Amino acid sequence: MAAAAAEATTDGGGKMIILISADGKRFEVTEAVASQSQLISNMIEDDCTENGVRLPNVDGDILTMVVDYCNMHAGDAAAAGDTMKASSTEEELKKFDAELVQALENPVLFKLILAANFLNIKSLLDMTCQRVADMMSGKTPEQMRETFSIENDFTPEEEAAIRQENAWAFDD
Amino acid sequence: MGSVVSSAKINARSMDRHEKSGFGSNKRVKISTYECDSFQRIIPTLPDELSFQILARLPRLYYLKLKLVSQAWKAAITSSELSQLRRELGLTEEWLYVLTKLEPNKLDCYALDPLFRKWQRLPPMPSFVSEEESTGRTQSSWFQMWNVVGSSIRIADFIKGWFRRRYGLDQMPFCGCSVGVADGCLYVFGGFSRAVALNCVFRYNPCLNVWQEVSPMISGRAFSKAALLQSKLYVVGGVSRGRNGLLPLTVPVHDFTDAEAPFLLAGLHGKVHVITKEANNNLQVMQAVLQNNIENSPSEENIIWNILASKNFGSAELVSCQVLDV
Repeated sequence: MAAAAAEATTDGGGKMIILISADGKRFEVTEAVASQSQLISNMIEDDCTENGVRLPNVDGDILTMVVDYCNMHAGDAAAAGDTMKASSTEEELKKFDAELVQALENPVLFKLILAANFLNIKSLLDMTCQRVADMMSGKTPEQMRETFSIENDFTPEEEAAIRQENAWAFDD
Repeated sequence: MGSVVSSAKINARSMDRHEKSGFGSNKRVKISTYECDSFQRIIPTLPDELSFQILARLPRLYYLKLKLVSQAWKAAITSSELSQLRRELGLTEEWLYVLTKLEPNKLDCYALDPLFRKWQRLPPMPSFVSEEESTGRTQSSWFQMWNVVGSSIRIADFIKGWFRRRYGLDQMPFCGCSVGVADGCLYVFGGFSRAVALNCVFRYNPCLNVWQEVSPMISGRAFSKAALLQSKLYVVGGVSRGRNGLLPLTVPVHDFTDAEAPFLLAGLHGKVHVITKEANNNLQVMQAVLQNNIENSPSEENIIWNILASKNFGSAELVSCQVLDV
């Protein structure tokens, strides 16, 4: 049955691929959408997507976001030739990307980073890592430890040495 | 005086430590400085490989503070992997490094982050002159005696060479060092201290935020020029010591890196920057912006000077500046 679904074609004629999340959710996407993942793109080349692609590392809710992202960005490569079109959609894409990660809490954002890394989707990895980096900006070391549940494993002497280095470097 | 100048000698000395290039992207030399055996992960819920991806995207102004988070963070931030990754991702930031001289024998170095317009004071440079003034005095009389005996005696040269780094002949303040950039590090070469041409070389590593004394030049050199050629740093020309003792040349011609110069020049973000010291001791970094580039060639009228940053460092003199892209 999975094989039958994988054989299905869209109205446009592009071949469809079934992605199966760790918790068994199935997503039907075109080859063009799926091949933004370097991992799946390689699988398509090797002709081993016939029975659907099982992604044991990615949960359904995370895969939903990834598929949304890929659907939205599928036009990227096609639009690149037409500069007018590309610039108008670029705005929309930026807005979409911002909204996708804006509301995410750290644990979910990290899962998305892991998925982007596993599926090898460079632009998504870029965007999600940048989001975490932006959230880190301006945080004190103490806030950083709290946010990411990091244990302070410095000895008091080591910590004092780094504090002194900082006090020397910055006047305020 | 002419005999003192040895600039005609093309005595280029290559620093063999720069043979490994950090700039050639296809010729990658990975030297792991990131050691994290028994420590916790950088971020407990992420593999370190991905934490590196995040850290690389942080502005580098934050790095110094974030060394305080944990051992793993400190190790990661000071690692060569992180700077390598920043280069690969095209996320390196150009900072301006300005050397100033407040006390006669001490250089102070400041880094300017042009994006945040924030200054960072570099750690003190290792001392290139002896701090024990009293012993210096006794030694200088020793030298005078040797000079009387005659500088042609090789043993005198040998002993002078031996003492050169620690004791000077008179109280002339430090000047004439040259500055260069290689492998993402800042180098300060030689200079005159109490009329002795120094051969010592200091390196500042911006990732570690430390100065290190590295292997010295073959001979003492002041007011030399440093240039990077095929990822080797060459230090050429300048002034060495003369036949009759050591004659300092305090003002080189056409040299903006001289301590006496009223301003320094730097290329930052593809624009000319001028670093000046105002009468009120404010150090100003000004950026030249071409106002309208309609066919007429750039002239003084259509350049506006934006003040990028301004800070009071007291009566410190401007010595030199460099840009590091890390």
